[in-house]
Formats: sequence, C-alpha cells, structure tokens
Amino acid sequence: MNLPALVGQLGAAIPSGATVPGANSSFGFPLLSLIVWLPLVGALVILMLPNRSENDHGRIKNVALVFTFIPFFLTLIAVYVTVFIDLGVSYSGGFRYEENYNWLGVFGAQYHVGVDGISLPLVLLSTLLFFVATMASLNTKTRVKEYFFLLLVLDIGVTGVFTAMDLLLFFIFWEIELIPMFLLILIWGGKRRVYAAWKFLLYTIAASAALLLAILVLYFKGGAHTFDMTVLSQSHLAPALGGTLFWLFFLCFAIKLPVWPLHTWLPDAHVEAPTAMSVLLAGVLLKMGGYGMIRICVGFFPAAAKYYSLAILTLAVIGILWGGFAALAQDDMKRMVAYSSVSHMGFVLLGISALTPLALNGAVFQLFAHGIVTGSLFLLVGLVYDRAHTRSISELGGLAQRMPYLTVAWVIGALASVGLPGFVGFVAEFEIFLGSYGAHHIGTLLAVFGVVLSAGYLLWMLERVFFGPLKEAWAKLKDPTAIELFYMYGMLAIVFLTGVLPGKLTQLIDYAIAPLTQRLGGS
Amino acid sequence: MTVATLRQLAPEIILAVTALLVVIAGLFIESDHQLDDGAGERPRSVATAIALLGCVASLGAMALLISSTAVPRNAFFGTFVLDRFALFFEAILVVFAMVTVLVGFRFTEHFRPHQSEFIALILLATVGGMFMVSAREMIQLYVSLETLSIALYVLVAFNKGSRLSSEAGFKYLIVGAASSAVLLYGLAILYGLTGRTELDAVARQVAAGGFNSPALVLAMIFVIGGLSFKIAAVPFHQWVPDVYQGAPTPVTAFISVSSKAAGYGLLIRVLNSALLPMSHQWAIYLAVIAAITMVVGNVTALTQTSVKRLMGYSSIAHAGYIIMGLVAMADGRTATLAIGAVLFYILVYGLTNLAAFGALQAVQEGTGGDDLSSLAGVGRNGGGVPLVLALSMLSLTGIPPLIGFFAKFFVFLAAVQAGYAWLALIALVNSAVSSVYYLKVVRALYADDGPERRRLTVGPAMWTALGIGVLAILPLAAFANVFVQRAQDAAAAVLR
Repeated sequence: MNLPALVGQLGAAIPSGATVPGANSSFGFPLLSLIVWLPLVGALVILMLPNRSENDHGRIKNVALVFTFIPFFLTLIAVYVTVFIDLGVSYSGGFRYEENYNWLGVFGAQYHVGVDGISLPLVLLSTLLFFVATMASLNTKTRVKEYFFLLLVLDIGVTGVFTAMDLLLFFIFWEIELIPMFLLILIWGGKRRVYAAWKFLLYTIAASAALLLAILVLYFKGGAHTFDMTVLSQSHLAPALGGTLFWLFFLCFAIKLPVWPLHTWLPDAHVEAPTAMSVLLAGVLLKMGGYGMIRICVGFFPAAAKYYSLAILTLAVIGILWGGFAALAQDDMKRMVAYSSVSHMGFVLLGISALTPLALNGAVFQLFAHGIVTGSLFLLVGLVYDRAHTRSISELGGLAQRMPYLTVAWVIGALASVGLPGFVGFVAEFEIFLGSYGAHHIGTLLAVFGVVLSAGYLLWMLERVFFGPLKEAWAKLKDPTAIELFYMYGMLAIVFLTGVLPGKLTQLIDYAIAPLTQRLGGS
Repeated sequence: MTVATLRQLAPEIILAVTALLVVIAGLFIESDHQLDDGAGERPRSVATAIALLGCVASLGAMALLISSTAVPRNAFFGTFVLDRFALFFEAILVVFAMVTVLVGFRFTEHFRPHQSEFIALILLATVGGMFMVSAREMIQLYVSLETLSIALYVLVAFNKGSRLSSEAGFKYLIVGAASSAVLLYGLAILYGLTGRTELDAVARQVAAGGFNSPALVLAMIFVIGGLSFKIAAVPFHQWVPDVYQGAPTPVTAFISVSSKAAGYGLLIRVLNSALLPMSHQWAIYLAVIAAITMVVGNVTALTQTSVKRLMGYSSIAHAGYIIMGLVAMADGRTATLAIGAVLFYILVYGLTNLAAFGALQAVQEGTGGDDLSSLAGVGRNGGGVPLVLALSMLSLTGIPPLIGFFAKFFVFLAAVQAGYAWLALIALVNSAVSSVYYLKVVRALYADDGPERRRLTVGPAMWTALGIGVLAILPLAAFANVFVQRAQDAAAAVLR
C-alpha cells in the first residue's frame, strides 16, 4: 500500500489547472515514500492485532521491529548506493530519489520528497535509532499496543521532516511528531511525567505556531505562491522581511535544538521519558531543529544568517558553557547526559554561526555524531537504571566489578562524547572549531572550553559510578542480556567506524553544503 | 408548475416523501404496548432503513441533476436556484442527515414509541435546510429557515422525560424566535427600501440607489445578526452551551452540523447577492464578529467540564474561523478561494463533529455521563470508540496531518490573501489556545485514572457512522485536492 503514489495517480487523473513541475520520480521506485510511510503500515497492523496475552504482546513487538527495520534497511541501501557507488561518479550534489506529485495544486503545495547530503545522513540516523529504540523497548509491559503504535507514528513524522521538500509537507511532518511524543512521555514516563509532558507540549506548540506563521508569511511575500522549498530558497526578500523571517524560523528551531535560554523543557522531558524515548528525543528530535536551521534559516536567508552571525555565536557559546557547567553539577546520570546535549547542540549552533564550508559541514556531521553518541549514552543510562533502579551518581559506585561489559561500553561512549580522536564526535567538533576559528576567534576559544568541561563531567561520573569500591547494595547486579549487548555494541561500532573513516560522509555532506556557501559568498 | 420543476425539486421531494413514509410505517409497526426491553429494535431498524434508502435516492437524484444539462437551473420564477453551490450543500446536508440517523440508532430507543417521528423530523429539518441553500428570494428564504428551525425546536425537546432537554428546547425556541424576528425585520427593511423580494433584484436596486443609507446598514446588520443564531456567532450564541448540553446527543450533533451548514449556505448566498454592493461594510462587521466569536468560544471553553458544553463552545470558536473565511469573500480577487475554503471547512467540520458526537454518544451509553471525569480512563482498555473521539478532538484542534488542519489552513490562507493578516494572527493564537481544552479530552481518555471499565461496545449502525468520520479525518487529507476542487466549483457558482 503506497498512499503517496495513489495520491499521485489521483492527482494526475484530476483535470486540474495546476501544472506539476518534474512530476515523475527520478528513480521510478518510491524509495523515500516507502521509508517514510512503511511505519504507518506497521502502526495500522498493530492497531488490528489483539492485545490480551503475553503472546499478543510478543507479536506486536515483532511487527514493530519489522516495520522499523525495513525502513532502516532501505535507507542503508540508499546510503550505500549514494556514498559508495555514485558519489563523485554519477552524483555530485543536488537532491536524489525525488518524488513529486500533485497534492493541493490549488494552493501550490506538492507531495515532494527528496534527500541530499544534509538530509541523507539524518534519515539514516533516524531510521537506525528508531530500530534501536524499538529493540530497547522490548521489555515494555504496560499498554504495549499503544506504545508501539505511537512509536511508529512518531517515526513517520521524523523521517518525513528530513525528506520533505515542500514547506507545507515539512510542517505537517513536523507536527506529526508532537502528539505521539507528548503521550509517550505522559503515559510511560517517570515520576514527574505529567509536568514534563505538558512542558514539552507547550514549548513545541509555541515553536509550531512560529513555524506556521513564518511559512505563511514566506508563502505570501515570497512572490511565487508556492510551498516548494527549492523555489522558496531562491526568493528575493527585502532585508528587513528576510531578517524577521529568519528569526521566526530560528525561534521555532531554537526551541527544538534547543538553544539557551529556550532549553529548559529538555532536561525535564529527557529525564522523565522512558529510555527509548530519551534516545529518540536526544538522538533524532533535536536534530530536526538543527536540520531546520541549516536547511531553512541558512539556506533561505543567507544574508540574514550572515548579518546576525554574532548574535547566534553568543547564544551558541552561552549554551555550550551553560550546558557544560550544569552537567557538571548533576547527580542524576540522565539529567547529566541531557545537559551535555544542550552543550553539544551549542557546537552545532557555533558551526552555523561561522558559516564557513568547513564549519557547516561540521555542524551537519555533529548532528549525526551527537545522535549516535548521545543515543548510546541514554541507552547505557537506561541499562544501569533497569538494574540498579537508581540513576543517582552518588548512590552508585564500583559497578565495574559486577558489570564489565556495560562498563567497557560506558567508557567507550563517554570518550566518544568527550570527542576523543578516533570517534565520530571528534571529527565533527574538530571541523567546527577549525571552520569557525577564522570567523570568530574568541568565541571559538571559549567554545573549546566546553570540550574540557565535557571531559570533566563524563570522566568524573565514570569514576564515581563504575570505579572505586563496590557498594554493597550493588553486589547482585548482572551484565546486560545478549540483545542489549547487541544493540549497545552495534551503536558503538558505528560510532567508531564513522570516526575512523569519515571521509565519504564529509564528502557527501560537502556536496550539499557547497551551494549554500556559494550563495553566502555571493550575497 | 411543470414536470421540469418537479424534476428540479426531486431531491427535496424524495426526502419529504421518505419522512412521511417513515412516520406512516411507524404507525403500523410501532405500538404502545411493546414496552419490554429490546422490542423497539425492529420498528427502529425498519424506520432507519427507509430513511437511509430515501437519503441515498435523494443523493442519486442530485447526481442525475448535476450531470444532466437539460434541466433548467431556476424554478418558481427564479426563487429557487439549483446551481453547483446549492447542490454541494444539499449533498452534504443529506450525508449529515444519514450519519445523524446512524449515530442516533441505539439512542432512539429512549423515545419509544416515537422513534420513527424522531427520524422523520431529522429528514424534514434536512428538507428545510435544502430549500434554504437553494433560496434566492426572501420569502422562500424565511419559510425554509422556519421549516428547519421548527423541526429543530421539537428535536431539542424530544427527550420529554429529561428536564435539561425541556429547558434546552424552551431556550432554543425563545432565542430562535427572537433571532427570526430580527432577520425578518432586516428583510422587511430591505424590501421597504427596494420594493423587491428577489435577492438579485434587491442587489441591483441597492447598487443603483447608492448604499449609504443608514437604514440599509441597519438592514444588513439585522440580516447577518438574525442568521448569526443559526451559525452560533456572537451575539446570538448564548443558547449554544445550554442547548448542546441539554439536547439528546444525536440532536446536538445534528444542530452543530446540519443547521450550521444550512445557515452558512444561506448567509453566503445573501452576502453575495442582496448585500454584495455593501461588501465593504459587512467585511468590517464580520471581521470584528469573527474575532470576538473565536475569542469568546475558545476562552470560555477552557473551563468547561461537560464535554457536550465544551463542544458547544468549540462550535462557537469554529464559527469564528469560518466567518473569517467569509470576510475574505468580500474581496473579488479572493472570493472564489475564500468560499472554496469555507465550503471545505463546513464539510470537514461537519464530518469531524459527527464523529466526535457519535463517539461521545457511545461513551455516554457506556459510562452514563459526558463529564470529563466520566471519560477518565475510557481509552485504557483500547477499542475504537475512544480512539475516534481522540482523533476528532485532535482534528478539531487542527493538528496535522488530520483533516482539520487543512480546513483551517485554507481559511487562514484566504484571509491573509485578502489582506486580513491580523485576523489570521488572532485565529492562529486562538487555535493554539484551543489545543488546551481539546487535549484535556484526549488526556482524560488516555492518561487519567478512572474506574475499571469494560471495553465499550457499539452496534453496526454506530460503527458505520464512526467509520465515515474516521475516513474523513485521516485519509481525506491526502485526497483533499478533489474536495477542494469541488468546493471551488461550487464557489464559482454562487459568485456568478
């Protein structure tokens, strides 16, 4: 069942006055639509399944696994073909796997999806993390059916955001994410879940309102009365209007990323969400903000981005240091990782503020890197919590003696998060610093201090939780099970591999960044 | 009156005859002494089947009318018009009636031995609505409006045993009569000034004679004000919460969709014919009314605990959004877009509301109340009914990708395009505020703790009704283009 294709046929069958530019898919096979919409099929299947016994629960979980794995697998194929076969040969920038069908011709909205060097890594990231999150949710016991239904619906929204090339479609995917995540925190969260869920909801709704407003203004003032992102990105606006729109979009994405001082929903939501949802929040949902900033704020309004570069730099540096110091002070491991996210997302913003090819490349790379690394860290926190039933750093101690495999994984994860060479985070941060130093000397130097802070809080936490004398309460803890080890070390393997061999990925990103920076230079 | 005229009136005639058939059939199969439980099932099924067949036949007649070119588009000396606009409304009114009958199928049990009268009244009210949207002359306009209203007065008070229902019926009658008087007064002034009762002729006279006369402005305000009663706009909105709460739920659903749709149809027709020369005046008036209406509806809804009352205020809020679309109609360049958006909105709002009230009806049957507290935890056992209720709430909020978002979005687009960005901004803020109370319902269903309950079960009639609603809420978004196109065709017709 392929809904968009149906829509396309229908759209073609309707004798409407609207013309469809480039109405045929370049690939013939609706790859991206499958990646985006297959989870919907899974969600509908789950809706039909009974939900009474353990057996039924097992079946629901299997369906969720299958329908998150297939999109991941399809994305792998797309990445493999693009990166290892076509890159530099038949592909040198631009959008791939495009599908463009008439959808709401009267209003100039199309069903238009495609990926380029910025979005392809993020699609890979999100399909991977959804598969991992499903695996990490296998021990869910309460309201299993609703949980996996919502997880799959969330999947549609997130992958959709990264593939949409029509601004209305982008907005709709952006919104699909809202309600499932709200309910996932509200129902399956920790003690303060109600507070955290409503806070998340209110912040996100505010962000959406800004986004919708900005889209509408752009639609009317852009001159073309279209929602096509490639067309809109070329629209010439008066500097004042461009600046206003830049900040409206920025407000929306800044809430999501999050940027200091709009970050306060994040620690609450991350801490109260169930483990798999924390992984997705930190790993994928924040990336929607970063992606939007690069694709829309920088891509559509290069002049404004350049003009306000210092203001953004300030926000970035404050965020990096604020998040770092706050992480240092936390006793809750999950809260600490949450604040480290604030700090690390500051690096993305730093890259965006510098606007050099290298820094922007690093920003995209950091989105990918942080997604995998921090996703892993939240998984690891969850594994500790499942066993010890506490995340308090001061209560834990000496866990290494009972859980060697988990400890090794933690050490690898923490070092990757610090940005040790050889891991994916290093590549990203190095690119960002190198790229932004030329533009902002002092700001970059201050930001580098954030790395020192991250070494501080992560290593200090490792020492207190895993090393030192074993506390008696933890004498009976056991190492993770086989499937937990599988996804845990699988993630870390990716962290290592992309860290050692980043070349292809940076080249891919570069093809998408180059046109952006060209426009920056020209304006 | 020729045979051709009869052919033009076929949809209405079929439905009116069906209503009579339902009543007559009821006389034979429904008797006073069948008072033991479940005995009402057979007569109810027969009456419902006849009604549904009649509706389908009426829809078929419309389909024939649309495709045939031989039938003249005017009847009764131009007082009755059969353009695409009228047919669009007639079609959705009949569909709304069908769904209402299905929603009320089990509930009608309470009305024994008057089950068939209940169904017949719904059909008769629909016939009134269909004449309303085809009216192009003041007297026909008023008479058809009263046909609809009187049937509704009876329907609201149909639950004779319930004090709330009787009270609601009385209030509805009083406010309804007052607003009818206001409308009639407005029409009378128009007639007095122009000497004509045909809307087009009035428009010509008004345009020829200049339109700065204070009496004309008064007439305009009275006409719009009188119709505000039907569409639940400020200042004739006070009846809404009480009537919504007191009336039997299927009737509430019917009032919130059919009566409103017919009201909008008539209002759009009047604004674009008799009052078109005064578009500058009514645009400003309606813009203010739209802003006030949506704010009043949304803010008051925030504190409601009865879901039916909440839906009443929500209905006021949505009236505000729709009127915003009507404002955009004043500008000739955006008129087609605006009317198209409004028609799409009415269709979407109607189907979503029917789904919401249907699910609410099912929940009420299971838990015995419509308070937020009696909804608590209903969704925990799973099942389709709470899911439909939750989906319709989210759709009414306007959360993509549900259809409610598109409806709102099109109206917003039209308003901005016509230069009413400030109004769209107010609507946007209102829409965000509305999410608070709609989500309260979702939260009650899924997150709040309630007493242990069995899963809600509903009959096939209700399933069909809810199914139609869900189909409208979810996949319609992907095919919205088809409906938008139809709505635009209809819009073009009324502007001609």
